[in-house]
Amino acid sequence: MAESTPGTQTVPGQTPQTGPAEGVPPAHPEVLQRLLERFPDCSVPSWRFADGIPTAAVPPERLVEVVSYLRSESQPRFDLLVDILGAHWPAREKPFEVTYLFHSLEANQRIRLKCYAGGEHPSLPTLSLIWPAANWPEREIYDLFGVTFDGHPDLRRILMPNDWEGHPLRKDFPLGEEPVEFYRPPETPSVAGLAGGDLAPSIA
Amino acid sequence: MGLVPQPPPVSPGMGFRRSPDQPDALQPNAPRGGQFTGEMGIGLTTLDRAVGWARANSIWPMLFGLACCAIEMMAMTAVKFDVARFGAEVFRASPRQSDLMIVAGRLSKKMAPVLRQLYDQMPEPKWVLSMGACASCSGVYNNYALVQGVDRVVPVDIYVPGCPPRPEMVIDGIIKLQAKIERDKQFGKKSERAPISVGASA
Amino acid sequence: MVMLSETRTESGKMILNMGPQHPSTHGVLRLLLELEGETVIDCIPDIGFLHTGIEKTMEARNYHQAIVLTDRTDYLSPITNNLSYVLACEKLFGVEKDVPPRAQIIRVILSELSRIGSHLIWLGTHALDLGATTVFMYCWRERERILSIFELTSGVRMMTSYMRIGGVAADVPEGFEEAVEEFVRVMPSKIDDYEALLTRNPIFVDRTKGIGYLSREDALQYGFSGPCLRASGVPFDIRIEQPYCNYQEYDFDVPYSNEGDVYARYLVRIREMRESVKIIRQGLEKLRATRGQDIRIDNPKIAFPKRAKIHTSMESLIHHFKLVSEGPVPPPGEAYAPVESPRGEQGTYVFSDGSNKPWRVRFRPPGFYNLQALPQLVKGRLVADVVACIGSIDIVLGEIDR
Repeated sequence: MAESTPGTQTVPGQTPQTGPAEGVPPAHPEVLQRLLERFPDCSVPSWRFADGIPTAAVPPERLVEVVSYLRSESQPRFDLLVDILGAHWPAREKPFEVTYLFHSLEANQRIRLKCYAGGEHPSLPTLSLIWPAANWPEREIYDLFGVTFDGHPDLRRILMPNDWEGHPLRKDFPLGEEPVEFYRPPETPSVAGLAGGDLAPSIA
Repeated sequence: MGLVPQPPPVSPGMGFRRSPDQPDALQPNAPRGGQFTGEMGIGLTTLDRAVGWARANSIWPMLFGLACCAIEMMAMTAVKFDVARFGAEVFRASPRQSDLMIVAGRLSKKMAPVLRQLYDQMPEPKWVLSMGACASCSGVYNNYALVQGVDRVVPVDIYVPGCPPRPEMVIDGIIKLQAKIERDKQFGKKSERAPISVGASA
Repeated sequence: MVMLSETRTESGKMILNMGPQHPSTHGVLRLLLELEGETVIDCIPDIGFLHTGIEKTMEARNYHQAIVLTDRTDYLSPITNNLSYVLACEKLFGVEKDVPPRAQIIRVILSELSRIGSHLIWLGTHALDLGATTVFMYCWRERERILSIFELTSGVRMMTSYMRIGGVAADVPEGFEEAVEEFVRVMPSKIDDYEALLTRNPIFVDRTKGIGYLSREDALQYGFSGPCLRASGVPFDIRIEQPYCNYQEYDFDVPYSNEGDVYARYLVRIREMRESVKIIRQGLEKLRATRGQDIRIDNPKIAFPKRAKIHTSMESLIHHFKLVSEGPVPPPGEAYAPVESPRGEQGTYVFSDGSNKPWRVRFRPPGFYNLQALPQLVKGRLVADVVACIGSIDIVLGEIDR
């Protein structure tokens, strides 16, 4: 919309963007500061985290170390794994993004880690050996996105049938919609009588 | 001589259908020929009618609740909607002991072989009631994961639309199925079955 | 599907297939039980028989249309699913503080009604599996009251889709307050009835006490949440720790237990039903105090303008048109909103790329994490205890498989 009539506003964000936008840099609470000092190769992604949970991007090779630190040594300790989820951003250099959410019972705080994977066979290290709750979510991400987790004891499909090909939640996997048949013209007079052939309007 | 069985009074919940020879007349979905549901008339003249009456009024459904519709199916067996009035409260877990498979819920592609196997394990005579929009045509989900309608896997006798259908709608479907069962030939080759849609009242 | 060619291993153990069609698996869950006699050596759950592709389908709808799909994940308590998705969207749009108080009160009342409804189904089916058919009939009788309240409010018994981004769909109709008040008056005595039938029943206690024990450490390691975590000694409730919808203004207790077995989970949930009744009572008072107030935010870019305005104001009409055709459009970002569903922490994670369709929606299913621990719960126990354990962790395959 090039020009807007006076008294009205244009709707923001009408041009879809496929990558992270320049957002306001998030505030750095102490726990995040300590994490960044302890692991200098972690960084804060420049993305808008609208829920206010402090976030750090972790290189894959440091993931297990960072998570062990969060569980045992950090102040406060994060003892509950809330969720592990994946997302696919094809426009990025490393399209597969895996997010880890943790909760600390003693301080009632949350923290989020992000790991990126890319290439022909994207892969990340597994957390399931140190944290049993990570077993099934990692299988699900493997099933739906195709990201393998090195060292996972039982990496096989969990939601799709075992012989399914493809990874459904990737953006290049089609939704699989079938065209809907709204009106079927009657083939024989008897069928027309039964179904009430005057029901539907004729659609050419 | 003898009482002629009258068709049961038409209640607003029952469907109507135009009769093929008189398109302007509305016929209630009363069973044609044979015994009417619940009427012990004196005209029990053939074994066929007796067996049909017995089969219709003691349908044993199979527990095949898949998703949300299963909850309304359970509500149908519970106190307010009480399907026991119609003889169908004995839900069997085993397909070998059941007549009616109520497919209640969305059928995913992983579950489809299981559905077919269970249908094959049911002994004749057997009927299938497709409960809900997802079972009839995959409902709100037109995607890779669901079979677009249970009739791609098993032959369906009655479709009950809704998301989820009210328990009364399912009971209405069972009543219509009872009428259909009584109408069918009970011995010999199975006649062709055409599906009936509940709620298509025009 | 995992096909087994050998059902007998070398050492004489048997592998038994339980499900996916089974009366006690509470849905389409398949369990592979490795048995020695009647004792379970190992149990491998096989899920995915209800995978619907809801998350992928939501990526093809706009933010408003996707609300309808959220009901069907955890179908025993559809309101809390709607709520968690709508809360995440509100965070994404940046309007979570602007939602009017009356809308928050209606959300709380409906969520708690939904929680009681879900616990009633849990109690009915759990008791039915263990042999108590009367409890099943009683629970469904009370549930019908709740469903008729939902039908009065939204027109639909189960899949209400009543929440909207920025409020609720419409104000509660006449007769709502009376119906809820009647329910609240009647419910505590009904819960007493269920307790009278089960809590000190020697058969029920024998079948549930000491069964399916999970220690506090294991519960945390497996990512448990909700009543299962609270029964293992961790009094963690999202409504208290990370309050949403002004839950901090309500006075209620969070029941928990240190026993960690099936009986403890039963007691925790029964007590939770009583606490929910308390919350609904307080909500009703607040509802009366806010009569006539708005139930949706006044931002026409996100929520539909009022009907009266559409008839008189051109801008409102255009906004309505844009909202119906294109839908609300948030700035790019991501947000996670947890909600205390009857099963645990149910959260929705929404990613936005700045277009009118969500880029990725993820439901954090509490049952997924709770079910992972099932092998731990049933090792060394009998097959009949497997039935009790599945009932006690209260899984819904709709949200596990999505």
